Amino acid sequence: MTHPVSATLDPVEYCFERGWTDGLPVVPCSGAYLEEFLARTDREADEVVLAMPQLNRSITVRLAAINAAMAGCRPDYFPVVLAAWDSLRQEGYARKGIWQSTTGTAALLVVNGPVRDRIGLNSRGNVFGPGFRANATIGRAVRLTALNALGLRPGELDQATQGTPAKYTCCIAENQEASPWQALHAELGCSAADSAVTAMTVRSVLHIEGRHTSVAEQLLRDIVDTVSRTGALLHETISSCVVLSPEHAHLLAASGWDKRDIREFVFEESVRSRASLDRVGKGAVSRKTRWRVPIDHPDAVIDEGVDGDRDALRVLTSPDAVVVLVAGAPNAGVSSVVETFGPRGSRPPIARVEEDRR
Amino acid sequence: MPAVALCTDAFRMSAAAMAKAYGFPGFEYVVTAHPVASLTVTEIQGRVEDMVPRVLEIVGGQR
Repeated sequence: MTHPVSATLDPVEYCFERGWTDGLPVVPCSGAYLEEFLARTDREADEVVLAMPQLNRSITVRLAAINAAMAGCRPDYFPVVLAAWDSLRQEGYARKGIWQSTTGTAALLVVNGPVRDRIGLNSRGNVFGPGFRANATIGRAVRLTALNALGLRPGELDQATQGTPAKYTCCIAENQEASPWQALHAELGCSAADSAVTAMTVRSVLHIEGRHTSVAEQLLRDIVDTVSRTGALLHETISSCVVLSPEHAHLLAASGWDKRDIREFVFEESVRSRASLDRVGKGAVSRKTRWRVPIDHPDAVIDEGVDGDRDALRVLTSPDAVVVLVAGAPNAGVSSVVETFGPRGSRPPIARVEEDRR
Repeated sequence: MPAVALCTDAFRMSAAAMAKAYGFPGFEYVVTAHPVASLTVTEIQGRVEDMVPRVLEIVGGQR
């Protein structure tokens, strides 16, 4: 393939001209700069980190490194970027084409362990917001790679109807220091001294304004109302990552609740009445697709409810469809529900961050 | 078994991009108006009747 010679000598503008961008300026990556990234791992440059057989395309360590550099990562972030790809590969949704889907999902990356402090990942105030290079650029590297290496361009191989702001970047660290409970990576089998990335395919990050109560059950039912909202129900069930602020986490811990109790409560309480689903035209499921449909749809079947009660429908498959972690500043009762595309029963995929070779 | 791909007009660009990614630029498929997910059975039957001649044309390799 040939390309016209650029009319500009500005490397940033040149990258825009060639379409190597998510719309924001990228850092031009020279061969020497690429070597600095590759020097941070023992993996071969041609090793595949994520294959997309449906596209005949693959992301190699080299492509992941080039795009991490272009996204603005420092070379010492690269082991975290590679762990993110390892987790995304294990999770499996990207390989099934979800990044091309009309739903318009993004990848949430959760980082645990000592690497957070080593590279300056924010786990505290404005954790989902701007201001921190490591969060901003590690999250950005994922979608920039998908754009440049897989060709997932809007209107072409990315069919997202609206997408989500999280597609630009969505990388947080857990605020382990402010959490009353075991950290996510330890809960998932890593040692506390490990650093690890847990990737989740997500739709939206939704605020919970919970400054009104000190009663654990009231706070959790407020969260459940968002977890089980009808607008999230394309299928019969959903899954959720509840990101508790330190204030909410301590409120719950002081009442004797641990993560397991919270997951079980959210599972048990995330039940909707048939009538509430019928009001929005989601009172049944399709026999073929298992998508929610109106009761009078030709493929409609009445799905089974809780313990045979056809009027009480669970929106979660098990307590394990809920991931609980702690992040943010200890300054208000504000938490969030991240609508995830899984797990719906299996535990989230966690990938250890390799020791930096330097 | 011969097969013909169907897609709605909203996905034409994606269909063309997928065909190109697989090394078959210009791959022929049948296009119908978007959307289909919310149509009634009668409307779906009408769509099928409209598309059948085009499906047979592609299967038969006729232009």
